Amino acid sequence: MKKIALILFAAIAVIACDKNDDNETVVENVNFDINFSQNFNGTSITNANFNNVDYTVANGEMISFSRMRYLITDITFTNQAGVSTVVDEYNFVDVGEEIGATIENISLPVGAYTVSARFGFTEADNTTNAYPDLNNASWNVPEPMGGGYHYMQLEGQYINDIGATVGYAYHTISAAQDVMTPEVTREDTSILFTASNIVISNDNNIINVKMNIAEWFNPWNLNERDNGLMGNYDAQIDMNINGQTAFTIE
Amino acid sequence: MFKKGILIILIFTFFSSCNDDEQESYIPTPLAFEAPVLFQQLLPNPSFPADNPQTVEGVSLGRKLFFDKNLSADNTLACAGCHAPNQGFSDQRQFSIGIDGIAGFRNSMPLVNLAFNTRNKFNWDGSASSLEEQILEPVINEIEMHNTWPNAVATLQAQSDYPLLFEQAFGTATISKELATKAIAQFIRTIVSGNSKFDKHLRGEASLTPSEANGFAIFLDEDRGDCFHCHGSDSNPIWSDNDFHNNGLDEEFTDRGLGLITGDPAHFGLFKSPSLRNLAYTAPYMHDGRFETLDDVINHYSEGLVFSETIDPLMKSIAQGGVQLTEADKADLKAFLLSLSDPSLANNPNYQNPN
Ligand code: HEC
Ligand code: HEC
Repeated sequence: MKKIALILFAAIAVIACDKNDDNETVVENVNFDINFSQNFNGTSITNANFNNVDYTVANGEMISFSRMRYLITDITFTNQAGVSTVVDEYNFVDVGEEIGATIENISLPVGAYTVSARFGFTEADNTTNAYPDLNNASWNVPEPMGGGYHYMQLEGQYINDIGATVGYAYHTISAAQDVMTPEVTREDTSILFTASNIVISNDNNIINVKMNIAEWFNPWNLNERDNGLMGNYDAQIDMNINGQTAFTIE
Repeated sequence: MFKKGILIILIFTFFSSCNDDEQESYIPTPLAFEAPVLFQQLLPNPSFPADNPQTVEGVSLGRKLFFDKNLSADNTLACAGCHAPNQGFSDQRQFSIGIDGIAGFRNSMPLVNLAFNTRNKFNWDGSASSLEEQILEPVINEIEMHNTWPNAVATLQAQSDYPLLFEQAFGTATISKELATKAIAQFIRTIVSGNSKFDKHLRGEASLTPSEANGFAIFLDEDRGDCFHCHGSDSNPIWSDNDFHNNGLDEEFTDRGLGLITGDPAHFGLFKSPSLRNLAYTAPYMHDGRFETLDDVINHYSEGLVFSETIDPLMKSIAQGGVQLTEADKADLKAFLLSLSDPSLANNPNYQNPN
């Protein structure tokens, strides 16, 4: 529906432009895709790489992945005149289930854009039970932990300091304090990331949003923080700091 | 919708023109799906297969078949024999017994709210990718109904009532395994449970006891139960993620679960998270029915976890067997779990044996 509206709008814009000024060249629209991919310091990670304890984090531990789900919101293209188009309100990526890896056939006029997106929901959008599809994915954060939705669930195993294989559940949410009490509060730890001068044309019709997983663990000591991290405010703040460099748009 | 209307009219015209001298032809009546109000608010609408829409006649035929022993080779066992309405559409025996007196190797599964399984993976190991596909299996399974489909179809075709019922439901009196499984799938999709005490609490019609409320807090608390990541919550009232996990039951697997189907060693010992609705009626528990009581289940998560390579990362303090809940917390967790049971399920007139 939204797409139709957009196309209509674009069409009207083009027609309008035609009528008003015969000399001006018509700006054509181009259809493009946005791909979401993951890597570990440049090595591509898909579900084919799951469950291999093969990746060394900054602190030295070897880790594997068994679940990788994250939420990217407010994907916005701003043209050089400063006009913004939100191409998707939220995109839920589930690497294991191969869900959300691509947003297809977005249509915008050829040109250079500033592209921005956000890891997780802003406070304003992070409303408990507002998104049935995310409820269905069991993506909620329980009310006593602040409510709303997870930003990321990254799970797997690592080899700990005494050589044992142990699970980790690196779950990122809106950082909460006083969890499991009626006084629980939360603060926005979603992460905005931006790239300027992204040119969309017939030759360049794929935009890549890349997440470097290694950044989430740089620095991070899994021996001290491997599980039960949702209610750990300090851990959430450190995740937010690490995540600032996890995403790039190309 | 409009297009479907035209199609139906076209089909109708077609039938009436060929069957001019026969009495009548039948068009099944579409059946609206009524989800409990909480499900409507919280979850996406269930989607039905395009080639098997819910109809009044289809559901009614499906119900008759579900309770009909004629689907088994010796006419002694119906689906309901292992999926009883008063046992949460499950079976109180650890392993159900098939027609030859042989026990299977897994505990029967409750058939409730399956229309909401959008992941569309059925059985403990995910071996079936649609409800229709699942239903083909028990009829020919050697330790269940041990029949053949040609034989089952011939038996139904020879009964006085079935040809007409198939004609009313599907426009043909020629019975096939595809149509029989479609009808049963339609019936199973109508089996909905959404009226537990906890549902009433969420709807503001009942209040939890302090023990139940504390149990729910334990269920959500990462440091104690942390059950919600796999078993749903007040935001996902199916009370399952319909996904596959190893919850730390065994060091070695006699049953590989999901790994049996995918062949991937990373899937060995993973089973579908069961819904926690109606636990009051669905004992015994786990894929092999190893636990007779909810106390056994809670003790397992509290202090009985064992390590294996595929154990889920959410299972904590495995070296100690679990997070060691206090006795008081265990009692509260149990009280909460029981508040998810829906006593209106067993006696719902729509789910009773019509034969
Ligand atoms: C002898 C007992 C028995 C009979 C008879 C039986 N079932 Fe089952 N059913 C089971 C068992 C055991 C399972 C679990 C199977 C597994 O995971 O391997 C099951 C699983 C299922 C499931 C999967 C549910 C889920 O949530 O994934 C469905 C659907 C089902 N049965 C429907 C039927 C239908 C329809 C019939 C009649 C045609 C039937 N069953 C007959 C024992 C039985
Ligand atoms: C990592 C996911 C996960 C977590 C966390 C988890 N479970 Fe489970 N649960 C499962 C799976 C998978 C099964 C089925 C295992 C099997 O049969 O092999 C199961 C089975 C059960 C059953 C048996 C239901 C039946 O019908 O047989 C109950 C009851 C249960 N869990 C309650 C809990 C409670 C209470 C908690 C929190 C203390 C919890 N679970 C935490 C995944 C999980």
